[in-house]
Amino acid sequence: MTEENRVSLLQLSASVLVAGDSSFWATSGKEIIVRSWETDVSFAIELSGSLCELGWGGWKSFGLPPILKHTHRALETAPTKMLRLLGWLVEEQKLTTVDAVWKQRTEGWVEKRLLAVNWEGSEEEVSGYLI
Amino acid sequence: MRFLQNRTVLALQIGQLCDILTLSPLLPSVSDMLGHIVQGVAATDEPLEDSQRTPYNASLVLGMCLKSFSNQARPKKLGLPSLELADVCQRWGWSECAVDALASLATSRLVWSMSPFWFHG
Repeated sequence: MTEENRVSLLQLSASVLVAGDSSFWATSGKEIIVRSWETDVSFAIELSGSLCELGWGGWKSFGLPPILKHTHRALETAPTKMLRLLGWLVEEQKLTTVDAVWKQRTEGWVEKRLLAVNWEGSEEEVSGYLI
Repeated sequence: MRFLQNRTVLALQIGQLCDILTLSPLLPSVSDMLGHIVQGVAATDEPLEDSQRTPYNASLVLGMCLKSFSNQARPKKLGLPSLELADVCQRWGWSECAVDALASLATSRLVWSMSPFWFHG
């Protein structure tokens, strides 16, 4: 998908979801979000961030759960974007409680990440983080 | 040893660290790892020269980590010997970021777990 089409699809998806009602969110709307997480994590992160920023009414029921479900896969494939989304959700108080399993897995990932970086090291040692 | 050389990588690293620190209210164990980063960064040679080369420098990382420590609701042990904190004061006293974080650290409840003489080292 070209960048132009990607932005258009993002705008279209967000607009359709925001314009819809709860019966649409629970059916086709949910499908859009679930499919995007399954097929294009980067797109799903952008869509989730957009929906949250737009104050979408279905956020708690349909927006947040897939984020928590796919957090760890997203941290592996698009760490910078996913961390930004999670950090922003915490700043905006849209993510205040998580379950013990999510917490444990995310802490494990963060620990591995922080300890792997040699904070006084050379560029070779950190080049693997350019994602 | 100079601080990380590749500035693009470094900007990305610092961005990620900033978001990770934001997540620390949800992930308490993040604070336990800050001592590791502070120790690594504090060992940077020529920190002033490093800061003059780019805004993405060691003092920024040091300040972010120490500030995050001071913001904890339940401060834990810093994980650094008091002498090293004194060293941080001496070596990074020129950095607004580092001094601001050290001031926050000193005025937080952490102060009670430090020796009153730590800053004389």
